[in-house]
Amino acid sequence: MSKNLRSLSARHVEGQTLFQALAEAVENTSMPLSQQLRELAEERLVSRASLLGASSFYDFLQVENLNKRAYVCNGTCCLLAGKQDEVRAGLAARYKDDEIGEATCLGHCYRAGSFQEGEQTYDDEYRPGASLDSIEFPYFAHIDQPLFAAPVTAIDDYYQQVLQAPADIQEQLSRSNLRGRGGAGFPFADKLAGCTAAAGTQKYVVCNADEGDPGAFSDRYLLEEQPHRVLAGMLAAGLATGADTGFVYIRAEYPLAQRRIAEAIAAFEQTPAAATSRFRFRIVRGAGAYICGEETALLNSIEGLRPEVRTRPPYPTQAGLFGQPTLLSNVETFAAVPWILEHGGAAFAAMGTAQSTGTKLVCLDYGFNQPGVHEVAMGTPLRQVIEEYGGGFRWPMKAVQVGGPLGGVVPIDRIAGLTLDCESFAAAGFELGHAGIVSIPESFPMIDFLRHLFAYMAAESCGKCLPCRLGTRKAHTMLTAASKTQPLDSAAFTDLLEALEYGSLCGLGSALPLPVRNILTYFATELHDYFSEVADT
Amino acid sequence: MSAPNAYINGKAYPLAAGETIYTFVSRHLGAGAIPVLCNDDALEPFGNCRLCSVDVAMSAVAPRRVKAACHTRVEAEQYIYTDTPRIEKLRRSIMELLLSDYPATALQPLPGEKPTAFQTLVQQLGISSSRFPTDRKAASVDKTHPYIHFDTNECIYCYRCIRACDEIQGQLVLSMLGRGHDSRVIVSLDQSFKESECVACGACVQTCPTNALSDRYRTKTFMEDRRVRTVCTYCGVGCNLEVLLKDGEVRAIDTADDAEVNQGHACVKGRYAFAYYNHPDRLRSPLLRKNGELQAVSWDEALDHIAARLDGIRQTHGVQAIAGISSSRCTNEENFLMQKFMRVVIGNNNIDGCARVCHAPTAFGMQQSFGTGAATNSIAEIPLADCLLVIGANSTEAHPVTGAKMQQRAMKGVPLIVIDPRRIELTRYATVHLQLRPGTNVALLDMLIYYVIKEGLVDEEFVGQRTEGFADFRESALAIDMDKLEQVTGVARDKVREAALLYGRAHNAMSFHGLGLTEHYQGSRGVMLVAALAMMTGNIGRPGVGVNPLRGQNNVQGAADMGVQPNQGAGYLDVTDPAVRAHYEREYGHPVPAEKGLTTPGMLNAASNGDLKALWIMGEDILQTDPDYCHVRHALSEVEFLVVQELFMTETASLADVVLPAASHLEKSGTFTNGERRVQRVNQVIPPLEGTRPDGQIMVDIMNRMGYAQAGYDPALHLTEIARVVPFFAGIRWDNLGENGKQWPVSKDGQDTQILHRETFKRGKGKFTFTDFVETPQLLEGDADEYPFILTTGRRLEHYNCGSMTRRTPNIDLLDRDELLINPLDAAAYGIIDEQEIGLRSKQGRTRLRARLSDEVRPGVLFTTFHFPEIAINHLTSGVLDLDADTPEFKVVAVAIEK
Repeated sequence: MSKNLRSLSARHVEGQTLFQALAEAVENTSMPLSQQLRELAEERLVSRASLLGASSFYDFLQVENLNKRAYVCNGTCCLLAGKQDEVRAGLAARYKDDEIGEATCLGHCYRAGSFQEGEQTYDDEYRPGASLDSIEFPYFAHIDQPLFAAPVTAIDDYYQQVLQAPADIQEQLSRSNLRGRGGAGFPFADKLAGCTAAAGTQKYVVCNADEGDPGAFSDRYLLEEQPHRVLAGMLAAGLATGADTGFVYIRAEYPLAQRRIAEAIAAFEQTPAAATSRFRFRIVRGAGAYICGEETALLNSIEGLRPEVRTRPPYPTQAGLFGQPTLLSNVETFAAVPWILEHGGAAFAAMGTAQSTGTKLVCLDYGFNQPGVHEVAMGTPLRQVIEEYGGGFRWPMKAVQVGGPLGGVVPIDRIAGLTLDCESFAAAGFELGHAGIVSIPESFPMIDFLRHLFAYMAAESCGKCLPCRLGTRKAHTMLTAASKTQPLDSAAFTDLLEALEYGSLCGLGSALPLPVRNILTYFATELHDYFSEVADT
Repeated sequence: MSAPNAYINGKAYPLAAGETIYTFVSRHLGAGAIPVLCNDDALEPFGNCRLCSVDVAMSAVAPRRVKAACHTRVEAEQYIYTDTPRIEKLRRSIMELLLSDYPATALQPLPGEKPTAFQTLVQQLGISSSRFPTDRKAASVDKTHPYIHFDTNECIYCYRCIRACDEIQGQLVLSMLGRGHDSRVIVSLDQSFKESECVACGACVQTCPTNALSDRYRTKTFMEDRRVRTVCTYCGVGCNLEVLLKDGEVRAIDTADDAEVNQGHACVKGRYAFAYYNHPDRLRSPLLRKNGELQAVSWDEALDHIAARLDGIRQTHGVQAIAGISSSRCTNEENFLMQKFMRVVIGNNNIDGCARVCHAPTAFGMQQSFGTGAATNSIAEIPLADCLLVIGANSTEAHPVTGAKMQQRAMKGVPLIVIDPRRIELTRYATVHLQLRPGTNVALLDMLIYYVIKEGLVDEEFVGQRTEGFADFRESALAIDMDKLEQVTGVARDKVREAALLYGRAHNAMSFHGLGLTEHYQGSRGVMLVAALAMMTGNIGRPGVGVNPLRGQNNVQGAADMGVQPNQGAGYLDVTDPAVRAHYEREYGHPVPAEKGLTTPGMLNAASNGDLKALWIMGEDILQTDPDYCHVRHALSEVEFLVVQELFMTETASLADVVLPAASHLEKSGTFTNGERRVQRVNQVIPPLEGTRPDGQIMVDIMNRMGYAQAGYDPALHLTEIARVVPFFAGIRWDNLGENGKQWPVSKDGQDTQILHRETFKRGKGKFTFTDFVETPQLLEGDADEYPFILTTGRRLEHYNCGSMTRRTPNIDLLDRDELLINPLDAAAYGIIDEQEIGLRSKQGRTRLRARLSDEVRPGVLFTTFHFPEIAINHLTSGVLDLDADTPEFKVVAVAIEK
């Protein structure tokens, strides 16, 4: 996108970023928005249109949302749990209709029926003053040597042990075969090496803590309960690549995570390790846009540009934040790094499978008897995770969606053949993604699931590339209009999926056909009447 | 080794390093081989329409992947398939998705119009209906702007308008609002074009592949009879334009993408402000003053009358009683003829031009320093500079296409130093803005030079090998009184030092200056100091460096080149030199005068004194544009015989004894020379309006009548003569100028010159001349209490100098008055509010105009323009002249505010 805006925004990189200043300006309702934007445009040398263009992209910065007092979670788990009406009714007693908004998702999928008031999150068992923040985070370890069980106590020692020579850090991470936990599974050491090799005096580390997928809350667990592991991982990446600053981009829906990370940064700054490394952290608070979980959109967001997806190459390791080489990775990936540096890459590689090493935090939603974050070894049979660790389903289920809204939809009868690793899922025509598991009740119509999926993706598409911009909306309109008497045009729908897959600029559009085709394949009978012909996908 | 290959649909083709699949395929199979919507070669690849998707594999048998051709680099041995079934299906689906929201009524061109790029593509792909449901919401059309119309209904979300406004103009007026399917293009804070900061450059309209963005002339889809490439007349940038004609009328102006000067860009004047050409106010008949009234007469009567009167005056009052002022708006050939007329037919050197009121100090100062009074480098080198220095030039408004290029660099973080009393647009992005008090350029440049020396940034090798006079220069520079200069300029020394570090440390520092440097008491001296700065830092003779005056009028460079000055004939040859005269006499076949002639101020003084009896003015409105209105008016009324060639009845023309209706630049051929010495062809678009004649033809006619036989106005013929007379035109012929012209000097074999002084200066060694600051007499007359403000003047984007052309176009709807900019602190002190009409008084006179409160000027400084005759700001300006070049000090006038 705009090199001019990027460069102008970079002039203020040391102080309050353009994005932060923009959010502050929009949220300051004491002055008309137009005046705020005019003044900010003058101060930051950018244009008025680019500011309004950027702010209007985010849910929480849209003018019509500035008066919202409460946000009801509209994530898949809350929808499937069937608690939303009840939650809304409860809120209606206290707020006017237009003061209640929707957010997707609040990341409390193990409770479901959640909503946010100010900086606090509650669920359907609402008691004023007793938010979910005060309840212990449900975490369960199912391996001998869990990475993320114990809290970090001796803070300086903890950071000191990652202050290793760049080559050693690179070496241990290569041995560990740690792969990105955000969903794509890219070898972390390769990314690190790429960023290290990239030319540039200024480099950045960016932690993608924009965990927007419904059904995923493992990053929130780490941010809130294990913040030092995340920061120490970023610090190590900074040392290895030569970056001196780490940005933690945390979504707006995670206020507690922001507080905990801020506290952790403050604690870090008091340590001798901070002084030795001269590394500094900065938090960027998101403002409600799912696409910011996509790495290039996230970078644009920090820069104060519209968080639209960039074309690649160049990759962030070559030209990332403010055009500089940037190591960008996910929370769980960074959080694994200190453990690897402490125990050695081989110890990490010894866990899991040959190609998918280490442990994985698996999120089980409200549909399980034991919902929460479960740390398991990679390669664990899915059935074991569901039945043994999760305690089985709360009520009859017909499928699980693994790895977020863009992950595969696995019918109950296919669970048995899968193990929890990238290879097993890919071979069976699914995607492991971040391995969050959402359970779809027997009673929930798949046509509604499809409608929900496309409604969500249409709402969250950045709108840049035409296949996704137009395709997500058209598919939703077709599915909404489809009925047993007026089935939708299957051939057109199939072509649309193909256009999404081949034509989309990023994963939001190109990965979406996978769960849709899973559903069309495994639930063809249920969906038969809604389609003009049996979907041949 | 042969170039690496890649395969297109199974066939091998050589690839060029770094090119994209799109360029690679288009290069070999033609522009339409891969369809695109969001791609525009003038913009960075964006990759959002995905229509350019192709199948790509690393071998003939390897699995294929779909890639967008526009932003994917082609690799050696790659296999590219442009139209596999799945690719064709993908394109079809994308088009169907687009068409589902696109108005069916807009699928065909309007009757009598050409199809848009999108309509053409729809036709080519043979897709006219969609299987997908519509989500179209009809929106209203924005026609508030005098030129640009916006109909979002036809928008196909390609972002090209947004990107053009960003990447070409740098104005960033457009963005997208919201996200996803319902996001839409907004103008500023979701306002109308008229309300926005849009500068109407038209780049968005030009790139838009539909008519979502169009202009009042429907330029993009206009079905013209004929299209003629020519050169813009509105400033010294020299943009190439394509004029669209229908039924013999000019109906729209497009730009040429392959133009080296402007690469398809233009500004609101060049692209849109052409309606003046057939305005009802155009003069259509010669006018002769009879019984005090100007009355229409035939050309023969007018020319006979002129010939007789000039003969009479010459016989009665002597040859020196006649003078001529030529025009920088006219062609080289016309200027050549005008000076030849004065020198050969009349017999004196009383010839001058508008350079006298603008860049004469540049010519003088740079000739003194380098030997050549012209830009050392070229505009195309701006991207090669890693530091830009802009002095007294508001290029954003006065040279918009060049200004946009500078702004693009500054926005991307290239250090920019602006020396200007005003907070002009460029200062927004400048690294350092040295906001000096008007009239103190020399003081500030002395400070700058001091720090360059002090900080050890002198390029000793360059100075030693290629220049002379530096030792004395250094000594004088180090002896300045910093305290005093800091106080005089009002600029803190630290800021000047910062600028010195930026300029001195840059690998390639490129300087630009305008009339804010030249139109001063010490104007020429300032130019010499800028030249010295470049030499002492070795910023001469390479790409991306140099001293580059931004020429105000379209052919101010050319007019001077052609000899429009009283001391130098065509080619800047000294008229007092007998050898030079012999050269001229040989070529002109007639003796030429040896005595230097009068400058324009000299002519006006001579007229006032009764010494000058006849004055011939070609296309200048000196009464409105020259300083000290009352003095000029008096001078013009004192001459016995005033001839004016003009398009319109200007202030000056209304005083004439004979007014000759001239043809506009659209109605004649010739050449203009832009600010980078580029001689470009002006091609006649339409015949002269009935009753008018090209200025060159008028000169030919009068020369023939007065006994000097001259062939009819024919640029090709005159250029051949000029090439013989002017050494640096030696290789220029009408036929070899091509579309993009040639930059002089052009050697006999036709080779032109982008960069001057590469190996050696024109004068041999570059010469350093130090000058101490001297206060202008304007401000030294002990009446600061009576005249507490300094008024400075300049241009606005929408209008061109006296405004006679632009005021007669829809530009008047964009800006319809001269305004007085006053700092809010001053305004408060005087109780002046925005829009209030106030009076201004100087020693010379007074005027009234409306105030606008603005921090563009600092307290104590006022700014206004001179586009509107009713304000006649030159009632106020003074007779103070540049010490060396006689150029009036427009930029500093001591004034008082009267409410």
